[in-house]
Amino acid sequence: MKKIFNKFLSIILTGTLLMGSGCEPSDFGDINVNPNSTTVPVTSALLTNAISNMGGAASFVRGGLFCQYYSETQYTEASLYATPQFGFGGNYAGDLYDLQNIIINNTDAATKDKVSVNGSNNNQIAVARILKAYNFMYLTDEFGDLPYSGALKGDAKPAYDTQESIYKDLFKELKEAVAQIDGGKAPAGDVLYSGDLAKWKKFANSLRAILAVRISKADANLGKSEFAAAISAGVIQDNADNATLVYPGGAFKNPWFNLYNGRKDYAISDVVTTMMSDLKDPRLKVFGNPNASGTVVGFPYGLTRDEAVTFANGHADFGFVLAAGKRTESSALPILTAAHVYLARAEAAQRGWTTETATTMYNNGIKASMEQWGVFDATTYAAYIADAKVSLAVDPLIKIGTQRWLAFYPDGTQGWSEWRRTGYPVLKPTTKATNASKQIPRRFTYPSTEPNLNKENYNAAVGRLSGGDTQDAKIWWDK
Amino acid sequence: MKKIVISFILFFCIVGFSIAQRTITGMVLDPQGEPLVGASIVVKGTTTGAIVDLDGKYSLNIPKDAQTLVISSVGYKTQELAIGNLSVIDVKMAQSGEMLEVFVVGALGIKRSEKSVSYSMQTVKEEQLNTIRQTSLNNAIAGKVSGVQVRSQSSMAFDRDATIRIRGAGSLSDKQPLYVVDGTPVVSSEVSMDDVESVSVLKGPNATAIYGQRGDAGVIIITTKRGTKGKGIGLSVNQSTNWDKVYIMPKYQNSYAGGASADLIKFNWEPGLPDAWKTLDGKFYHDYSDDASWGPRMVGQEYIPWYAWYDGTEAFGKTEKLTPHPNNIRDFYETGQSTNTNVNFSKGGDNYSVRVSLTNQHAKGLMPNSSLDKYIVAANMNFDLSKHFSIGTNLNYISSKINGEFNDGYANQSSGSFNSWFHRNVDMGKVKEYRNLRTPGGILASWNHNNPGAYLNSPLDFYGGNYWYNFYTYFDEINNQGNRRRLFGDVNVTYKMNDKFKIAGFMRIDQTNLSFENTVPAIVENSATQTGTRASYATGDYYGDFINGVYKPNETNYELLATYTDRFMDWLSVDINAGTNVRKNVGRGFSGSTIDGLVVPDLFSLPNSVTQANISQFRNRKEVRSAYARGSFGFKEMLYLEWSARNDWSSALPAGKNSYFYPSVGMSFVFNDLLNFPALSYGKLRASYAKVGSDVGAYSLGLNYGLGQNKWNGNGLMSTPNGLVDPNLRPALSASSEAGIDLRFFKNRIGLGFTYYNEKKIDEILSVPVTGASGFTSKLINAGRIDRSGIELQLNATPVKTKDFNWDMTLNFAKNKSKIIELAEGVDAILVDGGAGTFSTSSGAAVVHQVGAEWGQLRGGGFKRDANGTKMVAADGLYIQQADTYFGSILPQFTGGFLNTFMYKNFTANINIDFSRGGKYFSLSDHWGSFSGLLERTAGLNDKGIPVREPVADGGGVRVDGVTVDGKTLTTYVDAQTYYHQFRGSRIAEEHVYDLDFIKLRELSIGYNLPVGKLGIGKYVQAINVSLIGRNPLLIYAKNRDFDPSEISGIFGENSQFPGTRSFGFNVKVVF
Repeated sequence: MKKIFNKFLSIILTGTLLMGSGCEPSDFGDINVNPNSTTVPVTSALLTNAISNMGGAASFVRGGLFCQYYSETQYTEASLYATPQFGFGGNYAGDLYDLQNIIINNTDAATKDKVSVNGSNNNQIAVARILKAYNFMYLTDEFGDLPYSGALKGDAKPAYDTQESIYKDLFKELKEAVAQIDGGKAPAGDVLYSGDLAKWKKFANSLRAILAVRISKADANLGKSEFAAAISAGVIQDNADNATLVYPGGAFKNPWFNLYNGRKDYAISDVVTTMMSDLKDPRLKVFGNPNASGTVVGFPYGLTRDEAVTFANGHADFGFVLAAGKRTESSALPILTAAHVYLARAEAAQRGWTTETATTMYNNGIKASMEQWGVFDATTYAAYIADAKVSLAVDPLIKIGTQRWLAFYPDGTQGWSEWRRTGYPVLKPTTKATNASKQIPRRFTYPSTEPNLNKENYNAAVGRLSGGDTQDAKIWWDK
Repeated sequence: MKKIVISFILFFCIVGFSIAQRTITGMVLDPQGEPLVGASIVVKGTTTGAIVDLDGKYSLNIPKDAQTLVISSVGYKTQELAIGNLSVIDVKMAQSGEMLEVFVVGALGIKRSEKSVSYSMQTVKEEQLNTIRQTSLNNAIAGKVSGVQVRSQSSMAFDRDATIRIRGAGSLSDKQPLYVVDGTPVVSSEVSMDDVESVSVLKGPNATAIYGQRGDAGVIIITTKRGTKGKGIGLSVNQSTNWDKVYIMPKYQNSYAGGASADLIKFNWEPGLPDAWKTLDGKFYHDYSDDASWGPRMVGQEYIPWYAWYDGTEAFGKTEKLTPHPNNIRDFYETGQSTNTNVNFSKGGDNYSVRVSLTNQHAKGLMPNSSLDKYIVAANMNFDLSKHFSIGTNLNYISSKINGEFNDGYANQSSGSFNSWFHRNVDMGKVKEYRNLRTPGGILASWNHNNPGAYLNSPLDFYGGNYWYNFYTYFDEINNQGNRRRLFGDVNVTYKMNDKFKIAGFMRIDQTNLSFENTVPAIVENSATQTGTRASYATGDYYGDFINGVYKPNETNYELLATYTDRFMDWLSVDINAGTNVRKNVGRGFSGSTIDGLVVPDLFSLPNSVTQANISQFRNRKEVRSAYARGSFGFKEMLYLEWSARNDWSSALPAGKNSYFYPSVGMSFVFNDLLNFPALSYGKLRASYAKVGSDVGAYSLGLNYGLGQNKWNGNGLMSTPNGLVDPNLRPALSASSEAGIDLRFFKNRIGLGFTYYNEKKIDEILSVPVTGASGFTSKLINAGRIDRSGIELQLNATPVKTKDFNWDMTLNFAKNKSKIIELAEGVDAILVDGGAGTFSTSSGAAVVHQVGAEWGQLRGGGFKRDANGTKMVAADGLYIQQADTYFGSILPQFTGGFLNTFMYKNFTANINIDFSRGGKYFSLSDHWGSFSGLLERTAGLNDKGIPVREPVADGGGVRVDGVTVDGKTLTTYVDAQTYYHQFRGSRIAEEHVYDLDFIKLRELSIGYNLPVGKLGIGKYVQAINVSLIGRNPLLIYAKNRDFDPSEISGIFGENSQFPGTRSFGFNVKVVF
């Protein structure tokens, strides 16, 4: 009946209508071809997009509130340790999948030749793998175990891998990516290193070194061997090789500029200003915004809302995060720098992982950091490293930890990670904490959507956490 | 091609031929001169006959020896007329004592006998629609059709219309019904109510199957008036004027002033501050900068008001008494005034009818500087060119211009401030008085400027609005203007082969051109410190329309419809329609906005943008081809079998899988004649079954990579779309069955309609969320099942009917239950489109579908409770949150209306009440209004009789009774500010969830028909009617009276929306 009816109707439709374009009612020609967008991705544009978003991770504020880099000035829930629950879907479906898509298009026989116009297949894949590792580092340091090996494959139920296995794979990825770089055309759309593949290699090795030190408590042997391999492969030793995202301004503004382009919700914390004043650290005047009389007024950390409002009313000149000149819309944002690497080498040396001299690496790191921020002055530097509060003579690991914490400023996630692992500098949780444990959070809780969307794998991951999916549970490298 | 057309026509007509010697034509009219459609004309003693068509005409081929015509129609006296040599016989029928045959406009706009309709549909006639001459048709049908839930909107927003849900919800998304005006599918119900003759609501798939995929949420058929033969010159003028005032508002506290500091602050002059301020040295002020109202208790103490800091003004340096201003928010809204004027002309003759109508609606809004100006021209014309051909057109042209900003989302510059962040001591009269106040440097004065110390940083840091502008200044300075020009209607041609068969072709359009321009001048940008608005210019031009913010492409339909009506053997009636339709949707739009301010101040152009202006542009096309047929067979006007079948082909579905078919079948049985029960004037049983499909939007089938519009140093940016698409998408199907009974008693004094329906919708095309870890955040698949069932009841009665006094009433009642049986595999809850408000992912609530629960569950943080339901608290008395708590469905359990018309001599009074029970909403105003200490409850007394805002140590605080984690009961007092802040900090939305229950007097009118005859002006005027009207005159009952529950703006609840309004006015109608 239906068939006959259909046939009958389609005869009528085909015959009568004047208005139909095709001869078959089901043939619509190219009507459904989208004129607004393409179905073929452009790998160079995917790469530019992924790099442009690197600053998002490097300026994400929640970790910085936990490691007390900054204070909230109006609404203080986060720094009173309200549950840090964030979605990670956007990270995977966003930059990580864009990078995966570069790899897919440079691997798939059907597309690889076509996309090689944007750089050799190997080089495009290598850079995408390095950036994937960078993005995964941020995610796993925040959450712990995560979908990794099964992720980015369109599989709606990927398993959660342990952070240990993720870290191991990140080492492998970085190593293989460096090896994969060939003499072919550099990737187009590289707005980080402008296609300088030697610098990409240094970036990958430096990232590997940072990751290696991060597992000092969880797997010192692995950390030691990975660290040595990374250093010998060649790391960033000069600020000229830094991974620095230079914002063009306009449509792409430095995130710290955006943060103050209107509101003023964050300030440099008094924890930072007090410590740096005590150390007479020349970086203070760029870490915070000096007031009219040249003082960087730190904002007390961990206040309640009324206290914060009262303080702000009484101290309209409180210091913003970074001096105005360091957060213009086109200011560069440090991603991974020589200072970060030297100070990691200092720690490795101090731990006996390498034969390098801890003090040399330490001083190099401080010098590189001052240079990076444009405040290096030989006399000040000499006095600074000679100061008993700075020099490694006593409590070298505390000093190194403190300097690493300072060098990562204002990258809050890195600062928080280092503090969680080493406990240095010694930070006290705010007395006004509103969370149950009253302690500084150790991780982000998983996105609220995961129990709905990926229940079994989520439950398995939570089962591995002590105390469940809370902000107090410690991740693998946090012992 | 031509050949095929002809053969198609022939196919349908062949049955219509009979051996005929001569033809008789004529018209059959009722006593009012209206066409008596469906009347039957039979040659006595034969089976030769005809049915009167829509225009009241018939044409009959009779044998030479025919002598008498029998003309009959139910409800009229059967007439027998001698034929003689006449070739034209016109008949005017007289009513019989029996009930009148009722005709309804059903699917495809076909006027049919009510008897043959096998599904539930309800028609609202002009008089009932236009009780108070609403400007929105959706509002005008509220309460008047059972099973229709009208979600009205505050009348403040000129760009928003009420939305409609028919039978709750049958899809996973909150779909709107299809509107059809005189056969033309249109994007909204925008017509002049003066042009509407009737509105028929087709509720379920059974009624709408013939409309195919677009009818699955119901169809609202609007029939406009035609030109008629009538007395007089055919001119009528209708004018109403209304005044709107704010009606329903939250209850505010009037004890504590603004700011975060509970004490007044002493001003100490210091160097660097203006010398003039020395006069204020030692005086006190309240914290101006914090925009909450946790300030000092207002007891008439001396303080420095916000406007006393502007040197050189009259108020400078003068202190005032700190007192509450209870009506400050009400005072802000102006009295709106609206006029609605219609002039129409109508004329009809033997072979033509014309009606032309012009409507002007003008309104000055309640929001400052808002206005609406709209013209609606409607023209309907029909001409019979010959015996066989007629042409006609229905055209509606609408031109409207709207001025003003109608943003009432969180943090907008009116209700968003009043209900979330405000100072209860602010005198709105002063805010208005100082709307032009600015500093010599050109900074606009604000009630929310900073505290004096900020002056040391810069004058702007003090004078600039910390978060808010002077509301009046803001609305004075900005300028938002939108223009629409819309044309819809059809041109049609009908070929009428004989009285049994005709074929008509239509071209139908619904086209809108839309443009807008919004400007914000430099002074606005330069007068704020934190949350100010940038100077900007935004503009756009669209080919298509925005209905409540949703883009609708333009549409053209080409339609061919054949109609065959016949009667056999005096007991079998047949009517069949078959048609084809090609629908083309074309969308196009362009818009641009400046970014980061303007280079040259107040030069409003896109190139003047500080950062490269945002430009967006889109195009899309979609085509759906359809073929369909419907028909009914009637046996002895007692048993009717009705059926429909439709096939659609959609360009948006995968090639090869883009065809879908849906049938419906129904039966009605008119049994009153079988029963010997005189009290029963009409009785009908009906049952039907149908399937309906639904489709996807254009270009939904693949990954569409768009290039970002900005380039990073010349490098383009592209990202992978986040939605995967199942390549095997197919149209969704729903199957529905319904059954009902219609009864009328005592010569129609009492009428009763009852319907039960049961519907199952499966395999909707649905974007299900997947974990982002997959690389995508959603996947478009066929999945899910919703079951809905319910009952609908209509009761009409004329309880009193005397010579001078008449009372007619209608009671509508409907109960619906829509349940989510399954979603996609492994997905047990999904967010409903539009179900999330501003804070829904933190401290607010959102609407989700949960497997096993009723449609649209409001979900958010709740109170954690023990086994007895007692709220659990921590040791400090603060509540413990239970994440993902379900508060219940947002859909009402039942809705209805109670309509009354009282007539006494020349007076008519209408009282229309509608009601709704069940359903939840989240109130963001309540959420922030509590947080900010604005609402009455934040300033009450505790059980000890001490203000809750007093320190706990002094007997103040909010009393909390709860149970601790270890099971101990705890009674304690919590500092008021801590208490009211906890709901945001702990993400407890439950505190702000309310019921949508209401009983509302929506329409009220008292009219008087002037006795034009007695006054001696009957020669010039046919009728004059004067009436007093009230819209929303009384919210009779609501559980929470802070908002009008019938006007909640979002499906999740209200997002700091405009207050409810009511209006009163008068209407004058003159018919010449």
